[in-house]
Amino acid sequence: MVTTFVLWLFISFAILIVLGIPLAYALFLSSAMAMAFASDLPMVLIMQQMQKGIDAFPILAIPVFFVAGDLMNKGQVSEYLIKMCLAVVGHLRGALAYFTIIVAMIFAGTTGSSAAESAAIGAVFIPNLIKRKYGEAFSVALVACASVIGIIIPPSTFMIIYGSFGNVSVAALFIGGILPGVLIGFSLMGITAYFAKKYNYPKEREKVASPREMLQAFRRGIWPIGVPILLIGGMIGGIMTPTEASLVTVVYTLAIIFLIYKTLTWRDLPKIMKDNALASSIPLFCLACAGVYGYLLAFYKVPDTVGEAVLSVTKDPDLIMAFILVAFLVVGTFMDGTPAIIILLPIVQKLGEIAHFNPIHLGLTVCLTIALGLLTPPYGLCTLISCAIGKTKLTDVLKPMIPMFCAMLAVVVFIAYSPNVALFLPRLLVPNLVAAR
Amino acid sequence: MVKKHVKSVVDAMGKWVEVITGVMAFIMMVSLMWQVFTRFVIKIPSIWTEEIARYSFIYMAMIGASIGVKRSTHFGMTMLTDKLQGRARIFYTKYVVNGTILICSIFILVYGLEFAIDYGLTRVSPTFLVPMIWVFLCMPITAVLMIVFSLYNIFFEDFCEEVSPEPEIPFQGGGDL
Repeated sequence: MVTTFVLWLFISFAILIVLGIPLAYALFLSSAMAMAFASDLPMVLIMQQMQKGIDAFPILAIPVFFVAGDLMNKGQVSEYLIKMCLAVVGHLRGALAYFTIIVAMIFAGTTGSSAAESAAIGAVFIPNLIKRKYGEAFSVALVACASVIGIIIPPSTFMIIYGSFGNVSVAALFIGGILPGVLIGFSLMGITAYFAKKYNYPKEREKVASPREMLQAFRRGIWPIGVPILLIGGMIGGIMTPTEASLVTVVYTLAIIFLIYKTLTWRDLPKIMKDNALASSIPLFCLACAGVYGYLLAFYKVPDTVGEAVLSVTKDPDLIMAFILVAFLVVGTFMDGTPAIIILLPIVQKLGEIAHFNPIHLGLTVCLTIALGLLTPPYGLCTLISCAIGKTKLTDVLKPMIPMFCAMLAVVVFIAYSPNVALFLPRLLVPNLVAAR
Repeated sequence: MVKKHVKSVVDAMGKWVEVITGVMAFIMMVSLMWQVFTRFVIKIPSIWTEEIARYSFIYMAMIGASIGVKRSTHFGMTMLTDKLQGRARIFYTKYVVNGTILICSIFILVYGLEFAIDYGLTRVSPTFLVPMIWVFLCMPITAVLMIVFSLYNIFFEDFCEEVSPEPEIPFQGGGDL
């Protein structure tokens, strides 16, 4: 009974995915079919779980962060950020590539989604990078990799979802995301430096900017940095919930756009609101459907079975961590992050319990690994979007992307195997939210 | 002739649904803002904001998802089906993808109504004491919208080459997850 049910669940889902059915409907239909053909559970249960899937207070922050990121984008804030970068690193070889990474990191502090970030960053940088002879493949690969930072540096949709459905503090996950995000940014810069030397990329200016120029560029460009500071500052010690902090970032963004940049008017707001509500409703619907699927897996004790199976092979925490990393890397190649987290969450937490991982460290590792899935084809959203903007073929982009991906993977593995480094910032800033263990 | 008529009705419907989604998002954000304001500025946290925010969020997420059916923006792995060309691809998008959506939506409608009536009438929301059926009804409502949009796609939309159930590439920001 249980076996046929789980088989229905897995096989029908695999078939629907291969057929190219939208993920949300594939999840829903395979749950419904498994329940109809292989169980005597009441069908109403599906609707109850679906309703539960989106009735959680922390996920209210998701559309709000969508709005905040889009405001930054529509307000053309990146222009001022570029001017600031020009003053600081403009004299380096391959300056524009550094700009891409720095702007991506600052943007990451406002947007919770990497797809939105690769669209925003890509639209600005890919045409310019190509024009400056950085090569199409390198430009597209760089933007795709840099925009993944968007979901690692807080705010992050994956962390909100992981935290609210896995009973882990979202604020602690957010703060834990800062360090790996910055590390990935630096490692991408390192690779850029190598490429810049090898292919002789252009500089953007001859000499270092004078202090006066720098000051001028900073006066206008510094404001967006307030968003991540406000966000993280609001969450230190658990003063604000991430949902409340999301609202504060929107208010701050509106304030700097209306008072300092004056690039938007009140009339633009309804459209931004509507567009982002629609854009966020798609992953949220998928979340509701994944909730049903995940519930059914848990109901039939699949997490326990997997846990026992793993336990019969090994008890070594390092091997279990490796198993989790590989599993999420594989799942990330064909599935979007949101449903992947929901479905695998109970299994991962079961494994984490067995191996005595700190729940926050585990959540952070999972979110980072899933974020890498945004790059890996066939379903790597950031790569796909960047390729579409650069009008480049996926296969051409792979060559420059491989070293970047390896560097990012190295950071993720490092974080996965050094819990004390990963938990340093959360322990420092939100000690009450990190379990002692 | 019929097509033109139906198209104008469905488009008008779509527009209204989009506006309602936007309004729901607005209500959600305003009540959250009020919550932050009352908690941190006047120090008397208001109790009802959370409920309003949560329920308008649920309506926003569900109803907004039906527009995803109309615009074919629900994401899936289309690597294999992208190989289809011409008529085969149109046929596929029309009948297989939208057909699946239709089946799911009918399912959501039937059991969503049952759920709303069975569970919604007896429960009330914690703060406002409103019967939960008003919240649960968002699922059958969404299902009806999805049925309309998927039927429209099956019978009237002529999917040209470039329309595929991939995420719409948002060049000007926004974007899906």
